[in-house]
Amino acid sequence: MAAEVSQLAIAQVPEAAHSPWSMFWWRLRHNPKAMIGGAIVLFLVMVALTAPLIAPKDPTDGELGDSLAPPGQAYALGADKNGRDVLSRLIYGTRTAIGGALMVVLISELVGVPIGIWAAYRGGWVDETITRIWDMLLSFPPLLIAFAVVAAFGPGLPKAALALGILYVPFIARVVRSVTLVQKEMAYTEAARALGYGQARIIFRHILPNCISPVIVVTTIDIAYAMLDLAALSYLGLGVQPPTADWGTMLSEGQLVLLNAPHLALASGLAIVLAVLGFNLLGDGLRDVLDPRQAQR
Amino acid sequence: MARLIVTRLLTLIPLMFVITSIVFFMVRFVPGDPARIMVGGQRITEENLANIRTAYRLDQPLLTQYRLWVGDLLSGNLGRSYRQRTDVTTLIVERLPLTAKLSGFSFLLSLLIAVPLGILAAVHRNTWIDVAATMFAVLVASSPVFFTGILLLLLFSFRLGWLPALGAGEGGWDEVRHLLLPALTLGLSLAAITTRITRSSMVEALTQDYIETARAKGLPARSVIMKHAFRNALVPIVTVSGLLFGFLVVGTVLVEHTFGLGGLGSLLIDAVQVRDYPVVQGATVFIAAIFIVINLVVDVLYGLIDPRVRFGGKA
Amino acid sequence: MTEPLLRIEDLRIWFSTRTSDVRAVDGVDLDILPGEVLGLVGESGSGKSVTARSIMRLVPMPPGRLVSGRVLFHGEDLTTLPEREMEDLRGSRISMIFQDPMTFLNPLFTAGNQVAEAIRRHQHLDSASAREEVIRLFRQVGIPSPETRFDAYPHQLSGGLRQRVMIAMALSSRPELLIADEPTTALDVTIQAQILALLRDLQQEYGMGILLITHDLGVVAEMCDRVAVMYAGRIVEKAPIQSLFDRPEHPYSLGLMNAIPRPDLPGIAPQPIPGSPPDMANPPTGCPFHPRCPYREPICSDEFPPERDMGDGHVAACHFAGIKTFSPLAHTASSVSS
Repeated sequence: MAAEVSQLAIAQVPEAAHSPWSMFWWRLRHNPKAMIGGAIVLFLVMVALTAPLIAPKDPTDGELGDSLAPPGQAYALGADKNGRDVLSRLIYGTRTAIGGALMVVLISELVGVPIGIWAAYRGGWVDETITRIWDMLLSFPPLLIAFAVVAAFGPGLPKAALALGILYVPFIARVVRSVTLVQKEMAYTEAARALGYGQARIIFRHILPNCISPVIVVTTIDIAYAMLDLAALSYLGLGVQPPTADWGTMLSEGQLVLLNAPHLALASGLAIVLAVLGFNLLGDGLRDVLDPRQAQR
Repeated sequence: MARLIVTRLLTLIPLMFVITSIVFFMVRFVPGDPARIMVGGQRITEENLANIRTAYRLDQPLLTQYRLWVGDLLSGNLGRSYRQRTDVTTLIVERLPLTAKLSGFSFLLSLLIAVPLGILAAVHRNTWIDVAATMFAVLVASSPVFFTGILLLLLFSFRLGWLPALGAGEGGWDEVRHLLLPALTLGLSLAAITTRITRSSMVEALTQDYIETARAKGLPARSVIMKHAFRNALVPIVTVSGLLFGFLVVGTVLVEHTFGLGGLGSLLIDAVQVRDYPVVQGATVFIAAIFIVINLVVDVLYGLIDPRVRFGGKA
Repeated sequence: MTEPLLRIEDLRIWFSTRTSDVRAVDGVDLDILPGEVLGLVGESGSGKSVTARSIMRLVPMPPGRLVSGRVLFHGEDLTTLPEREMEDLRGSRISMIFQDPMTFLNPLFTAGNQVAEAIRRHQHLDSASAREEVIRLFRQVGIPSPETRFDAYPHQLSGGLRQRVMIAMALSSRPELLIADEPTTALDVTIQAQILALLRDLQQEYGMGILLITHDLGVVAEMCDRVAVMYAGRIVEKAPIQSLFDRPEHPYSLGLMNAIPRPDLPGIAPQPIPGSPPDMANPPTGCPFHPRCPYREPICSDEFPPERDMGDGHVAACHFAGIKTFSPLAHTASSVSS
């Protein structure tokens, strides 16, 4: 009964567009989550790219006399303990946040995509072993293992990003594996093999193109997670090291002066929320648009 | 049921093995002298270094070290802190009660927030209630737990002055007052996840055929929702609660730091910051062990809720 | 003439989608007399299930919407009854059984408890007497060793037993009207016959009216006193059972008959109706059946056919009812004219 009704509903969704691309745009434009998230992400990327042009002051150089100056004429969002301009540090922090998160997901993709394809392609015990291992890793919080990594290798953004990147591999590999499994069975792949195409050609012509949209969805959402995890590491003093401008570090500095200068913590915290929200919304929206069946669950 | 627990144990024990191996071998594969890394690059005499090598068996072959370490683990000996000159086990036992209270309290608060909210959103889906609940969940999920904590701190301690800002209190009512803000912080973050799960599993349950049977029997909406739908919705909720525990662990670490609570989380972070590796190693292994116990409890609960699991023969 | 047990007047239930209204039920008139078995037949998507559910107000609204009509039970309009009173009615004076006894029983409760729940809802019994009553009902609907079956979970029962549990639940408060929505469709053929026999026995014993929804004319022939044929949200033909099979007055009814195998006419293969039911968001003009009708004339696509009374309670909504002869299997011989 309910199924009957929803079938009717699905049949009624208008598909004005015909080509896959125009249909994609049509759906994207009508998805508020994707539009809001996309706008936030676009804004942050612009800020990151133009940071030297738009930042009013040097983010690492402060006037000690202006320590903890409140927001006002000289400093739009006030100054931090070292008299550095909070707004400029926020602007440069965009670079650290997006750059760090991109590093994490790029590492996870570089490792995860080949592993996912390999697992699905080889099947058998290779597949089983790999899936087992990542199922276990997925159930354990990455941050906890990252703590151990930092304890062993010492703090710093590159090390933290590398550790998280490797711990994020299962998120990507799992998706790539399931896409590959489907594509492997698809009739045209069979046909391609019968025509004598090599493995490489099947992978590059059939499997990789079909991985693009699910990988984009997972990557967008993983960026949000990576931002949260990196911010947490920096907040604990284990990630980005001073004097680099970073939101997590700013937040932890801000907490120390919360009583006299709450603007420092508020500004950096809200920046994190905005960025994570942007990528979360964009990821959710893209999933609705690119993979409607998955999204209904 | 017993078989279910055994099979789960068989998959969870390798996890324990993988985690312990990772934390054990990591420090040994770091380029350089593991003894120096363990002391965290402090200035130290050669004699003391030699002592450390003996104490941590670093002078023995790697596999022997590992075997002895696993043997110690099984007898409950997690090693010895370099900095604090105490057994790691003692440190953990000291710090555990606070963390346990904080986690339990947070979990309770998150259920109190998420379950009613998720049910309301599912029952009134596609109305403003649903939209508001979803927006709440997305917003809170996008806020790092420590920032949520700072916001609550600003509001309830600094502005309103209702609750203390730092510390764990003196036991009894004072302790509850001190733990309320940290627990609420963590509870909210957890609720951001559980609200979504409750909502989607309730939506799923409410569209099942047996809901129509329950209505056709003449049951009032309330018991249709709470008895027939919610009981079924509990199955997926319980299934993910093992995962939630992982979130809870990381959350406690961060929240303890934010609110200056001396629990297991601060023990771990302090150890990471001064690179007291035996403590990091011990605490991680301990958390992994608890993780496995929690997962087993979840499996038992799962069987209690769903007779198809309990009696096998999933239809 | 006896007062009908249930009278449905001009019922319209539409479902709103983002862009249009789907007219699932679009003007149904129907009477069920006390103690009568009325069959409601039609293809899937014809609106049978929505009609049946609307009697007990089980159609989810939204997305459903009552556009017009009344549902009179003993003369009282159920569409305006307060929800509280409707709940008292459901499962006591009007009951329903469903197609798939697997999915319609809650997997987390024992069969006995689910029936006991219905009993305790409407009769004020303590749990021990409710249990007694369930076991008595289980025995009555032919469930072997009812004491042990009480504590069985649905997944531990066979399809036939599950449907018997559903029937026990529906009959627990001796309803005056039983709505049976494709009660045998999900079952094996041999089990189907047993369940139909059980329903017939119970109907005799309780003297209740039954609205039997099915797409299977064989089931109708076996069970019903009268039949209503539904197409595109409307009743296109209503007739006493014998009259319909002897002399169908709507080409759609004839099509349904030709679509079933006829062991009595060897050598004639079942003939499915060509085409598919109309899109009820954009129903065709005129008679909704005209695009699929082998007897159509120009008028059929222009004017909506009125109900024509053929006497003896036989009515049909066709321009040519009583004018053309829709003899069984006629159009298999003559080619479709267009």
